[in-house]
Amino acid sequence: MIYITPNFATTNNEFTLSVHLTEDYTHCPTFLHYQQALLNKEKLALGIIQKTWPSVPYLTTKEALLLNISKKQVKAHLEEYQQLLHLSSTSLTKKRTALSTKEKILLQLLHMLLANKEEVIIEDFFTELSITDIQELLPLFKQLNQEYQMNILLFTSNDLLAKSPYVDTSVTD
Amino acid sequence: MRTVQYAISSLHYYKKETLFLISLSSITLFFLTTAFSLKNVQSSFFTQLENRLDSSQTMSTVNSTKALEQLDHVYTQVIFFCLAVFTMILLLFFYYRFKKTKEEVLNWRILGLTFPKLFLLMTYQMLLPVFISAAGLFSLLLLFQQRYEQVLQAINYRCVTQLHIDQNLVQSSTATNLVIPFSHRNLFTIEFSNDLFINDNLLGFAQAVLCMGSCVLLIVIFHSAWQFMTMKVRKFK
Repeated sequence: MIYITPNFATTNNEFTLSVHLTEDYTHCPTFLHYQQALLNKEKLALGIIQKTWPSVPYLTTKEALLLNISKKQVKAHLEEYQQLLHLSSTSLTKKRTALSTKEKILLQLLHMLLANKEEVIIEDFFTELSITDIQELLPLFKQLNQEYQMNILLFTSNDLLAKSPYVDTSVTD
Repeated sequence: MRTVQYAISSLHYYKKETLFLISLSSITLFFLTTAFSLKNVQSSFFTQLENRLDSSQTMSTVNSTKALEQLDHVYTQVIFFCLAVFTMILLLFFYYRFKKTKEEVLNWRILGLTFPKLFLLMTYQMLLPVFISAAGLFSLLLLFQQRYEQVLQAINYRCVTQLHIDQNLVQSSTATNLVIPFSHRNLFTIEFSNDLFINDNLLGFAQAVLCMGSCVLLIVIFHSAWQFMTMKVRKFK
């Protein structure tokens, strides 16, 4: 059983983009470990980017995006982060069923940024994304890594991702 | 306030469940209110009865207090029975929806809702339907006061005849062969002076709401504790 360490961590406080290669992340012990940690602990700088989002069926996009985030924080940072992620304001108000996969990831990243999460886990979206989408997302992840001190761990079955030059470490099940 | 908003949208989303909860609590609340109102009105009912039989003066007070106790006991039993049935149905309902709720609770946690807020949300989800049905029932009771009065009257008369209270009392009072200037039915009507009705009824309603509210709260606490505990030891499939 391989954990990439408690906070995917790195020796000298570097922030990393890691990939965990696994056929099915819902059975992966590492993923389950983090999920359990998130469920049980109140305050944890850990977030999971979910495949179905908003995962509570009666929550609107905006409600899910701004869940547990103070108005002050929204005022101060929403526009900045929105520009960083190249998210248009229209996607913030879109209906939950109208969201594309990429928008789902970006919106959840926006939430993580607003909530000051330091570690972010991404469920296996990558089969649903086109190659151009992935090519756009990976540099963005790297940028979040370096400029916003966010550790990112991807769970995927796509081994091409593991070989990408943007990825720092990769682990196979 | 956001939590209330989430609760409202969840109630809107699960329309069937909400309708079920509202109708269940309305029915229970109606029975509880009736039982409590009748229970409250009993002491004045018996003073009225004694006044009516006063002329004959044969009815022993011992007998009357015993009858009063008997009726009171019946209404108390009805109240407990209603609450027990309500609790049972609610528990079954929660049991039936346990998996669904569990998934929702997990997702709420992953989205970042804290435990206290989650508990509040679950409480609102349960208390809002009760509140809605209480408001509805209250306005209906005010609208159909006369009708409701008749219903109470009929139920009370039924109880009196079923328990043979009437026979005991009337026998003892007619032993002296005095004619009571009341028909059998009129003798055992509750004379609601306007104030009495409003007071006893409102009091009954308030008692019913309080009783049911605390019952619901207890169930919610139990249910959410159960949910949170199973979450902590959850083995993922």
